[in-house]
Amino acid sequence: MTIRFDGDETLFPVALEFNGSACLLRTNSRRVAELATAFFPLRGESREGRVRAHLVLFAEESGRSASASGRFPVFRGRREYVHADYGRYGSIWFDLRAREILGSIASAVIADALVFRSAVLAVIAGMLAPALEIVAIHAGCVVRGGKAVLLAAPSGMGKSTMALTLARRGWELLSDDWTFVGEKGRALRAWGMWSSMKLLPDATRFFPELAAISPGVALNGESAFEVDAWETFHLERAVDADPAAIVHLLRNEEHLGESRCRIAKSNADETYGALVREIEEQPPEMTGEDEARRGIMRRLCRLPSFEARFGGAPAAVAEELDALLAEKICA
Amino acid sequence: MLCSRRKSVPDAIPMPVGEAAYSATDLLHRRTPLVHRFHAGMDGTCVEVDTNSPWMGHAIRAFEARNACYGHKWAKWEIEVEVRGEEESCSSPMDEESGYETCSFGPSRSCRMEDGSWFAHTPPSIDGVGFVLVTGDGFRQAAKLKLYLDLVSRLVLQVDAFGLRAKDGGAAA
Repeated sequence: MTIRFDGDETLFPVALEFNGSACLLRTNSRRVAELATAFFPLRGESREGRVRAHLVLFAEESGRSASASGRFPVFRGRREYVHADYGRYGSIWFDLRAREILGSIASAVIADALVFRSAVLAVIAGMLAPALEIVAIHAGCVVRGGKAVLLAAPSGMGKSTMALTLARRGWELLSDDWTFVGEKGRALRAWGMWSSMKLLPDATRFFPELAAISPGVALNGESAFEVDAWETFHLERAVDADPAAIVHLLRNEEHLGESRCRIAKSNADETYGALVREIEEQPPEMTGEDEARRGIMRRLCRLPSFEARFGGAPAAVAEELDALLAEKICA
Repeated sequence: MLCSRRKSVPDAIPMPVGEAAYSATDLLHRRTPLVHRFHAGMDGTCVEVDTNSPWMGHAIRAFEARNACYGHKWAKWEIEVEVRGEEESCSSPMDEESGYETCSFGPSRSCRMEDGSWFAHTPPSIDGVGFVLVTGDGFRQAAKLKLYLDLVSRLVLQVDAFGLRAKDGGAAA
């Protein structure tokens, strides 16, 4: 049996910030450092703070290009330990209680910035968030004047389409699918991942830019476009913003074909119930952090909250939402 | 913070063929009920294993009976077992010659076998959790679980074999 040691490689430190929490990455790859810094940019809110999470990411030499099946990990977790297995493309270990992460990722994955951001850095953000008392809300998010509007809905309700449509009306795009809400002092702060946007093949009806792109296979196995929305649609990227409102998107078959969007106010309890159904339950070892997350969600649900039922073209719905939000939120 | 990895591989290891055939899954496995409990003596330690596989009982019979280690150290392991069809098995099955990788991240240690099975714990505690992929009928599953327990008991209960240098041993700063 042969033994190979990998522990003495030189790693250089990189300071990162995840929604106000200082994190320290150590890596043997300058490209990993660059991509991670762009994904978790320093916002000046944690420079003096203590480091709350440690990450070590090894870039492993690999001559093969990353294929779709190698891009997404299989997660196995028990208690505070989670293993994300990328097969031949590497793996990542998480100790969520200690907030320690160790991963090795094939250079073929790192070579593709969008794949690395979506399949590795986004996974780290999603896994680490609860340990940092950050809530991953299943919502897209658009920003105007520093005020963030969360577009909440279960999968398949059109979060990405609506976020993108509003972004094309001049909103900054913070997120299309998951928005990370944490506390910044006494205020809440919404943070968005710079990862790929998933749009179903029929989105070419609304976004003709997609016609030049071939759809791929998404994590759930369905055919979908996965694009860097900011690059593809030349959008402004918002990294973080102050949450100002929540809109629940309800694509309703009864309203299919109607151009009109029906918007009504919803109360804090309804909003809380809808959001809490979509968050990942944490193991008993993370009870303290879970309570903190629920506290953040209760605060978030005190924001103005609306329910938008629609069945028509996203542009028409976005126009109505835009008018409502301009009056109620951004005035 | 400490981090280190050590790979232990045989000279000629059969590498996985084809792309990973995993089905996408999520962390719901963290809530898989472990309804079976077994005990065994391993290296002078009484190990209590909570698992979802009844075949763990067959695997554990290869070790000393619980009363052989009564009064000694105790360890509690939670081990989830997932049964795969032969066609779903993406990697070479684990056998005596299979490789494994040990990792040290922060205070925690883990080992990952070539087929994706793993075990993690935080020294100095010898309690830990694990995940095992098995295929075939019950007796094949039991044989695989026995190999897995052999490896984990070597790595966890015999600290030197876990691959930690003396200066790294125990809980890390």
